[in-house]
Amino acid sequence: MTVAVKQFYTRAAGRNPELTAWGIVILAAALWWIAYRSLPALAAWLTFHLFGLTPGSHLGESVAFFVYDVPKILLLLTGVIFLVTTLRSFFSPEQTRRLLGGKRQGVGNGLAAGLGVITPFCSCSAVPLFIGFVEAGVPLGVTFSFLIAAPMVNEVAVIMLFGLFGWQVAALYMATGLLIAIVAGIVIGRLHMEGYVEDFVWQIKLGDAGLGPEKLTWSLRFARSWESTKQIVGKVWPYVLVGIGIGALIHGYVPEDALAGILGKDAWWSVPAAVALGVPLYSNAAGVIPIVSALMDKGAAMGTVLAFMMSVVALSLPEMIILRRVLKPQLIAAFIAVVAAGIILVGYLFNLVV
Amino acid sequence: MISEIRIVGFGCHRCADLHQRVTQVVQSLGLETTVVRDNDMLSPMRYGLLGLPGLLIDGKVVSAGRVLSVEELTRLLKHGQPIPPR
Repeated sequence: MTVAVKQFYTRAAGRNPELTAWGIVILAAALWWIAYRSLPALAAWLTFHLFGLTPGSHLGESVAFFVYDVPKILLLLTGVIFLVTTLRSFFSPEQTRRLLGGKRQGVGNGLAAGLGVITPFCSCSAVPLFIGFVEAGVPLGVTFSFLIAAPMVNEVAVIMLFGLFGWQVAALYMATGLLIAIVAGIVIGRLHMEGYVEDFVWQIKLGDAGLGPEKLTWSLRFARSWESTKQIVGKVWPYVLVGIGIGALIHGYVPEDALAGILGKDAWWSVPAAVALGVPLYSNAAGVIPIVSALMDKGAAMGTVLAFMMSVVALSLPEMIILRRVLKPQLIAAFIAVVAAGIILVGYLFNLVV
Repeated sequence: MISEIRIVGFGCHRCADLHQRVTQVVQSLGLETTVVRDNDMLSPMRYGLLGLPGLLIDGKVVSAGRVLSVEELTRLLKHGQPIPPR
């Protein structure tokens, strides 16, 4: 039967590759949807029927949590990363740089933050991108808005938040992430710290790679997105497993409200402490969020844990070390201070509102 | 005849992946090409790269910020373009 399927595919691809590509993607989406919707029932059956565990017991609850959340998060990751990568393939850093060159503050910051989310970005690109932007006349503050938004509002974090807390929290996270990126960028711009960029950056004459967004056929676009998706999910899934594992243990074994005292809404110092803790830590959003979810289950406040998450993701020590090559320590300190302040504010806000 | 393929990066694992794939394809195609791994910090700026790893063939930037697949690299080194003709 597989031979027949392969023959069908080869003939279809030969006749109309674009339509075939779309056909495959739509079929995959339908299968994905079916799998996603059957998960709760499947997980419950597996835990309480096949494994015979008791609902409400520590082990039962932990296993149910794990068996449901692992495939759910993996499905979500695969689906959304594929979607986002495909959308991103229409944009390129060169195009973003052209769009941002010479834009005023305010408007420029907003645009930069938005583009930070959409433009393909990997943390190793931070330095060349920074230099490229600055050389092209993009104001310093605007460049920072981009550099803050890109890692913070990352699709893995948003997906995980959506999967574990629902779309409102995910949307709020995106909105506040963008807000922090814009405001922090404006503040840094106002500080006029251009003098604290390493001198060689201003002296280097940037070559022009001459690249732009490529004209891609849909079948190629989808193929590349699928490659990327496999790469990312392949890198991230161990963290997801460990993160959800720890989350499952907390969920099943830690008593309710055990953490309300230290991490709850009333412990006002927990927000800045969470942010301070997040700075030296470097983790995948994928691993951190399930733990965050379980902590919240046990009385930790939403704002505190989200602040922790944001500071782990947006203020990572490795990225600071990389940026040190182009920024003097005072500017790095200013960057950390402004973003940390923004995250702390957002943390308090969430604690009040949620 | 390609004389030099250069992989520009800071040494993160994506650059290593690209380097490994390029070496693999060069070997499987039996090309007499020098494969250079460029970790110099100033190189990305010199070539105008906005994303890493960067791939240069005979000094010309072919891709930036992407780790090309083995198929794409094979097509690229055989035909001079990664995208198959329509």
